[in-house]
Amino acid sequence: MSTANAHHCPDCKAQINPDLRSCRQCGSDVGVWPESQRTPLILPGNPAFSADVVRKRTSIPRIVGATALGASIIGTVLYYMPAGDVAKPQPIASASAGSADASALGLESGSAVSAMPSDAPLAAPMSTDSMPAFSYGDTSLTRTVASTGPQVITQADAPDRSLASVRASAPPPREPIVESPSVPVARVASISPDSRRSVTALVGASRSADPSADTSPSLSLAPILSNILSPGQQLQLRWTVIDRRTSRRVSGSSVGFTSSRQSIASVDSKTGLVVARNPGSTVIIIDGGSAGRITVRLIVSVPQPSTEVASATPTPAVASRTTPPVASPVVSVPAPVAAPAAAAPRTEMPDADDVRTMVDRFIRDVRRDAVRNAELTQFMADGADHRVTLVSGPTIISTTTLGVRVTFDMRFSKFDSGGRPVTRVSSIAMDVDKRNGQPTSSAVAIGSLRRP
Amino acid sequence: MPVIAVTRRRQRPAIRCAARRVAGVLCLMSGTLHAQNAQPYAAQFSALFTTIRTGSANTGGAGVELQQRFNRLYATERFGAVSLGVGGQFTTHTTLLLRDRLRIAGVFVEPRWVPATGLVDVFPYLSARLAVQRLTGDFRFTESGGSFGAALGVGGGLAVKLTRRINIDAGAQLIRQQFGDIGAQQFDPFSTYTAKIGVSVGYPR
Repeated sequence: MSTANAHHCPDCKAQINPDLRSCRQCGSDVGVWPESQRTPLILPGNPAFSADVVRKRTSIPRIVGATALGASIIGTVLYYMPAGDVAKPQPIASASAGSADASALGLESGSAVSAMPSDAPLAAPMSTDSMPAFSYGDTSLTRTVASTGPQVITQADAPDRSLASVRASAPPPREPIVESPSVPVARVASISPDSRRSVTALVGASRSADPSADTSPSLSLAPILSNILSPGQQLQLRWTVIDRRTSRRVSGSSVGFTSSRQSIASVDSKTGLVVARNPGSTVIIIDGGSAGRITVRLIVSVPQPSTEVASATPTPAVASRTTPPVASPVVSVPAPVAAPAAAAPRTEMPDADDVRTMVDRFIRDVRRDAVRNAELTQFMADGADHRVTLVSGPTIISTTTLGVRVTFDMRFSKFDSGGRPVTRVSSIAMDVDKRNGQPTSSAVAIGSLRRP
Repeated sequence: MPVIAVTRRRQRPAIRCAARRVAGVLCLMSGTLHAQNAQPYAAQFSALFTTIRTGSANTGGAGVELQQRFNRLYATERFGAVSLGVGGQFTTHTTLLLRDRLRIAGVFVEPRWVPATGLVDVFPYLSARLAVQRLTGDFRFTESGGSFGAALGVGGGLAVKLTRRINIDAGAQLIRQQFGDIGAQQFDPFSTYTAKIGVSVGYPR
């Protein structure tokens, strides 16, 4: 029976038959009451009277649906809202994977000399040991080419081709030459795929353009292999100006080079080409204006007749830097440069393939539990399904005359005896050098295992 | 005295040899077999202790349990690991006064959750069990026979890492069981416990 159509006793409110004259509940004579009073005053359709309607209005699905609808609307609005100009966090040296501009990243952290793009043709196929996690394309790898014969400085395809020139210089015996970060490796390989020439790029290639006003430029200098030069030797300083916020290279920026003592070593004020002249010490000042200023101390000495390589003892860093007050402290400091014995013959520097080979070899040793590290041994001694992968590609953090120091992160995972997966990450530092044409790792430092 | 001395000299190498053999077998097991939970699969052999209610009295019994566990059902570092065991169990019970013998055999599935804890060598777990059982009664004064029943239980336990591949597993469950009647013998639904201790061996490598 519908509640709206029922008649009620005015006394006891019990439902009554409209045809009856008395209430069966209380016995009162309902006939004395007008029919309007025997009919409920609450009309049908009033939500306050209908429990079903009230329940529907407070139903949880409706609330959830409305919430979901509102959330979707808010999400849609947020999705289509134009993103603000949010400054990117500065990447750290070891976390180089995924960087949009690997060279800028490496120089920003003061760790890399040059960058190798992902499509570098010199990259050899990887071994199966470390295949899953290698990502060399995104990492900053140094390719340092040693000079063995008469030094030919070839200008690669710089951004501004008008300044391109090819010139030959006097044959410096042991000139440290490092690739410019502005020169992709692929392009270098196309220039001289077989010969091991030293390739440099002219600085100030795009000096005509003015830097954008909304950029935060930061001057970085590529690390040099040695600050000790012989009279007559040339050294090409390479620099780059990057935007701190975007980590991208600022194309239009001017840098000036000056030498404190031109008689010791002169420097081209525009190109940064240093020519050692007389024994002594001088300071090369690289002034990038608002991007900062970097000073490099150079020593010009006469080479000694000694040929002992093993006596090449690294010395503390000799490159220093001063930053104007307006510059950000993010401006990187060149990596410590080791000074070899003056007459030590320069060995062949390991390239990216050598570094990769050594990293592969290390991973293979870890998988075979051949690395005698207490924490690693303990980790590998328990559980099952141990996996050792490379989280990030090796990043060169410093170079010496004998080799390079690279860092990379490794991931160790396993199932413990309880069946639970355990994952740990460790940072590895490795010195890679080349002896008798074979890459070797003279030292490996394994960081403590930590949660990823 | 000299005879005793000779005897002792002969026994000592024998004892040592036996001890070496046992140690060798244990080393061989630990070297070739695998623990329960670290490996994808595991075989577990346990001794089982449980009771059954006959009339108004509980009759204890013991038996064995063999199960195959699948350890990689679901596992994350934060949640822990969920594994599933499938196996069979057999227990025998003998009443004290009438010397009636009851045998329960059945198959079961046992999911198990090992939560993420900071413990390395000890792994507490929660488990449940659903079993289909066959009760066989050998009664002295009534008709013998059998009936089917079911059991559902929840509990927990502790797995202790013995070696890299072998765990000792001890656990207990609260079981709700029900069997059909066997002749005049009636078995009402009852709750009991089940305790077990065993060794789990994981495989493959």
